[in-house]
Amino acid sequence: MATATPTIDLEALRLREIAERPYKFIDRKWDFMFWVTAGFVVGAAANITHLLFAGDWDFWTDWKDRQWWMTITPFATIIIPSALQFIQWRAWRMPTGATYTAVCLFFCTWIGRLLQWKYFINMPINFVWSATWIPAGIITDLVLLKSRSFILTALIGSATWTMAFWMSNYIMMLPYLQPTSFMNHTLTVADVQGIGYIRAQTPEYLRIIEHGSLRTFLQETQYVSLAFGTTLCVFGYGIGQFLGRKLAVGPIFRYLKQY
Amino acid sequence: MRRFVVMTLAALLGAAAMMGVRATSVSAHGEIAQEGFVRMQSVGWWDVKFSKTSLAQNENLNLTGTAKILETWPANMSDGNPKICYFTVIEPGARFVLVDRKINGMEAPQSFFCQKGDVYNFNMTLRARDPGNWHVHPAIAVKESGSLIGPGQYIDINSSPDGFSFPITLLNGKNIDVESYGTWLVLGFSAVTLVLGMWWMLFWTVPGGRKRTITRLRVANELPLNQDGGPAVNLITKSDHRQCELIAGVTVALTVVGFIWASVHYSGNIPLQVDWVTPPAAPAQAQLTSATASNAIYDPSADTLKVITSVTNTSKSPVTVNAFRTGNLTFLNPSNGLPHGDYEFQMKVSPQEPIAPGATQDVTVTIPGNVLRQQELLPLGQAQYVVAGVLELADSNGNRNFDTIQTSLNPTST
Repeated sequence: MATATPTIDLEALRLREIAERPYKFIDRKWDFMFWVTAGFVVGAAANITHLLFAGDWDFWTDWKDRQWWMTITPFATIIIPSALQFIQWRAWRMPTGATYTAVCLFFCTWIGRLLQWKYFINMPINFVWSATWIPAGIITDLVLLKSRSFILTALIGSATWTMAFWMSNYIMMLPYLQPTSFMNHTLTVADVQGIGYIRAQTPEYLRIIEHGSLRTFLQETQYVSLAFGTTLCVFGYGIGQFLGRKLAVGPIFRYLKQY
Repeated sequence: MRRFVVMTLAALLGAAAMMGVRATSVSAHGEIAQEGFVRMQSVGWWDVKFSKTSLAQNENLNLTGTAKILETWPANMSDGNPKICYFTVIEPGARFVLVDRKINGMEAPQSFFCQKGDVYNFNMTLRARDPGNWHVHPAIAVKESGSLIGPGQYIDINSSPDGFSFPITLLNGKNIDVESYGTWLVLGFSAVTLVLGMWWMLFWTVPGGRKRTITRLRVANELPLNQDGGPAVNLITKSDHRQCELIAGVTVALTVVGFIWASVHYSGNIPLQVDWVTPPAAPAQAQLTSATASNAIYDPSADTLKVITSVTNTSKSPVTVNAFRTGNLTFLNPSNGLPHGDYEFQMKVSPQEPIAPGATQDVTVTIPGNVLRQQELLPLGQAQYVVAGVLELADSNGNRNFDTIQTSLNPTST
């Protein structure tokens, strides 16, 4: 024991010296270029995954319901953050993957909403706003930082991802769930937006939202959906880990080993 | 570096040029892209009227008419049995806002239950929103089939100094403008979350130039995956932990406080509503005749389509053929008036004489082939050589009768 501690300290000092060494050719411009250029790829990957699995729920307020939106969207949107968490932690021990993806996705979705939806076809932004994943990303990254475990992050981080997504976006959604009487029917403001702002090829019956069923769990649809969404999110986190480990990092190391 | 700057400038200029281009006018909505035989067999349109062709922002336009889900509805669409429908408007973006919709006199804010053979009188009130010249159609969307488009009309919307508003009253008595309601909360909260996200990212990438990214790889490679080396290696310091706890703490506090505030401020909320209705039956139509089409002959040399129909007058008055309606087109008997708009045309009716009460007579309507070809309504080379539509007949008292007809299309070289 007496000799082991200095060995560890020496190894730590060696690593510390490497970490803090001023590199001549790998300067901060490379860091900057990496983060900026990767942002387009990460944003696009996150946005495409999001659009493929949960696009319509995020396009319109009258799709943001308490059953499907909360179930599908956290699952669809944790896949790329999970992969990025693995890549950035594996490569640099940075707990930034989820937040970085959320920020990139924020820019992607908002540029799309403002340019395509608001500017080109003049849909009101309060009807087509994008959800935010940044609070969920920060908390999930904190879970990884504290636990240093992808299993714990999958279990705890997925739950916090779903809960933080729900709470942060419901702050913006609640005004649109206020009831009104429109055409002599009681509807929410979001429903009125969906009826009023005509989507020519998206008729109302296409909405995949809560219609009600006999399986109502004491009518607590919201909480059942959150619980199910969390479970799905763990699965989504696993998919992201597979992508990160096997399709992103794995091939790079196999390639490097050849040389 | 110079090349990077040039490329960046070029990209910015390109983006700026794109910003100058707006979708200002669309004159077609893809209606002729649908197969002709599908349009002919599915929905019949008549009496479609736009109350105005020019109006100012915030003024209302009434779009009225009748659509019938024809008895000839194709078996391959909605399993041959349409059940859920939705009356809508096809327009280039939300240039109008729909503020009222009645089907057979019943308010129908969302979808409605429909069935083959039923007639739906619709009345949609549209509030003018965006200035411009817009092409507008009524349409009926049918679940598992798609939207079938009725005849359209160009409408001018003139700008109003007050701009557009969409006022409604909430059940708590508060008046709101749907056009802008809640926008500040969406933009404000989203911006705050962006600040938090950027705070986290900038902390990990550029705090005083101390934190590096790419060069950490060499150290991270030598550590087990679930270790960060601790303070000795200094990849992640205690200060990093404290800073991240602070950012996450602010995030949680903001989210929880915001959630509680919004729940209190916007109390009384309800879930999204699914409010589908079954409209009452349309007023019974006059039953003056029965009609069965026996043949439809397309003559390429004359470029005409002749539809031969056996008509039996079951009323007590003589009846004449007023029009033949197929897809979203109307072909008028010249003796019944001149065509108006882009969707009405003339046809020839033979014989011209009225059909006597109790008599059965073959009536041939001759339709110009160029119109059908332009509208892609002549299903030559398509999967079903079929002609279908609605034959409108009327007596001298103005009572009208609508018979759905369908027959095979037979091209001839003679």
